[in-house]
Amino acid sequence: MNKDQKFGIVLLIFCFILWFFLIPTQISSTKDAVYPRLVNVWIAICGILLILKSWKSTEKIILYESKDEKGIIRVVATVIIFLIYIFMIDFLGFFISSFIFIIILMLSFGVRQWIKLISVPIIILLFLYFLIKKILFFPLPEGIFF
Amino acid sequence: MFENIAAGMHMVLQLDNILAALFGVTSGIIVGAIPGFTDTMAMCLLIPFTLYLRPIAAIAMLMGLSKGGNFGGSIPAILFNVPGTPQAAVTALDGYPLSKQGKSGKALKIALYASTIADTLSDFILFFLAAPVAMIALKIGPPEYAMIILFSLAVIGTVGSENLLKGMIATGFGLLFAVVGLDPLSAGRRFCFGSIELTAGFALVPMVIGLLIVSETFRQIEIGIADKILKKDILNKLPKAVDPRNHQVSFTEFKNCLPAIFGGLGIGSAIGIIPGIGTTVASYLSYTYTKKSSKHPERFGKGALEGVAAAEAGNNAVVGPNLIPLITLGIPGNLAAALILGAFMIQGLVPGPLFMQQHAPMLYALFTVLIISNIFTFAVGSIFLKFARKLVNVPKPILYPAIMVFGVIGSYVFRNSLFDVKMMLFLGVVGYILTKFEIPLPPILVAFILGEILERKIRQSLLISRGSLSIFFTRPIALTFLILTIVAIIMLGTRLRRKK
Repeated sequence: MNKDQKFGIVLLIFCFILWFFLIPTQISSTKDAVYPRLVNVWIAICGILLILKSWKSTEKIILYESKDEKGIIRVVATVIIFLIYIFMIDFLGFFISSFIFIIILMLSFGVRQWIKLISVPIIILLFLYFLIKKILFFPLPEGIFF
Repeated sequence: MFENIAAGMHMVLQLDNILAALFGVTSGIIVGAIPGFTDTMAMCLLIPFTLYLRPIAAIAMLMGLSKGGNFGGSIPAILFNVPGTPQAAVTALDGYPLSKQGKSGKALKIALYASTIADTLSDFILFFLAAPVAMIALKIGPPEYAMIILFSLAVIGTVGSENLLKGMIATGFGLLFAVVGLDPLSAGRRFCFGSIELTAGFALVPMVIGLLIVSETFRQIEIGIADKILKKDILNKLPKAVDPRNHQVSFTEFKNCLPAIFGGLGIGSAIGIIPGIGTTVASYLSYTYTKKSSKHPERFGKGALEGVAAAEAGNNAVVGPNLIPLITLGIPGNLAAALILGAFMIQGLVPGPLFMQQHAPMLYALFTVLIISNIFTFAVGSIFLKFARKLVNVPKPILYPAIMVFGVIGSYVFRNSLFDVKMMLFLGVVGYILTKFEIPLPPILVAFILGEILERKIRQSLLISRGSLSIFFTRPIALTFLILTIVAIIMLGTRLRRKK
């Protein structure tokens, strides 16, 4: 099975869930549901055509190349760190949590020089601090320190 | 009309607008020159901040950014064969060979001249055509409107992707995202999952930042730092011009480039008026046309100055006319125009047939803004060319974390809510997964922005016809656009297949 077929099948399952579970439970009147159902049909038709088309083509496309695995792990880790970061903003405030977040992101990009790791976030955040607090006066989430 | 023009001028010629345009152009050129950071990405990041500006200043900043970015993208394309923006790839075809011959100064200058000339002249097309088109637009009803939107969605979906079906799937997702929130007619809740924040629908800002910026950052993290395209040795390898003439564009050379510039202007403007095709196609067509009509087609690809001029004129001539469908119909011609439409909507202005009646001075104000931005592009561009080399080498490990944090602020300040930041992350993950399956992301955004108005028009049409779909086939203009949609999909679809 190639990449497009897998995607097409996932798409059809999604359309199925949308049609039979999400639309009936999330939209109260059937009249309001007409347009979402039209869009649902649109995606489903494209999904079916995609499966049919990739059936004909003989080229094999492998879903995940093995060399990508490390990269994908890095991405998953970043998403988790990002989630923690968003919750930390509420607690530590924007600037402190961003400081930690930028360092971690730079580490995941492979930066290992500690001078860069400390100076880059400080420069970025100082710039943002003056831009937002002193020039634009936007409210930013504040934590226990500032 | 004249009082409208005077009123428009008066609206623009104020310090904050001019500063906004200058800021937009400068950051556009800088951002365009950094590979991996496109002008549209910068527009996404700036949109939330435009909320705090007055309408003209907000639009001036974004238009300036779009124009500056369009030119800025050609700088790394010419110097290092690394297009800063997708449309600059065509500029690289002849620009890079010129650089290898030590004529980078010449190539950059002709790119700047061609960009600004084509851009300025194409703005006049907007000036003269917008009012008549708006008059026609006033006469069309909901079914025609719906079909025109469908047509532009089809074109945007097919032009922007390698695979026709995937472009269509992307459009479908965009329309689906637009459904979330209150029903536009009955105000019933849809796909809110009990969340109060979701009743207002997906907000535009987390949507654009999540899909375009966060997902791109994830992709870059996945690739890692393996691709150091611009290593220092490449930067140093470029021959320096010994002959000072290689840094200047002589009058004869400029005169030889004029046909290419005007060819590009014509092609770019024509493409700009049609919603959905956009800058990349325009620069490509303009380049091939100039090559075919040239007396020395064999020189193209090896460092023909006309090639650079044609490509740049073609892609910059799109910007002005692209605003015609945007202002008169409320339909964006490409992603950049869609983002400007978003900024209009944030300001509470709804472009469309009525816009010209209600805000006629605004159109002329916009036009003045465009001309001012062009002057700035020329001025800032001329100064900037000297420093361009340095900026191109901004390391990704610093660039992307900075962009991410800026995106977080953007999503937050828009509605002062951390919910939007979470939404941004969610959409970033969705975008990242979709790109894994080669689903193009720009059509999702355009469809999302147009989704609500498309739904409203379709449902209004069905109310008029008491539920019968025949209303879309029996009215001549609606039928024409329906046929055009099908023809466009078939034609573009077969073109894609042939390309493979």
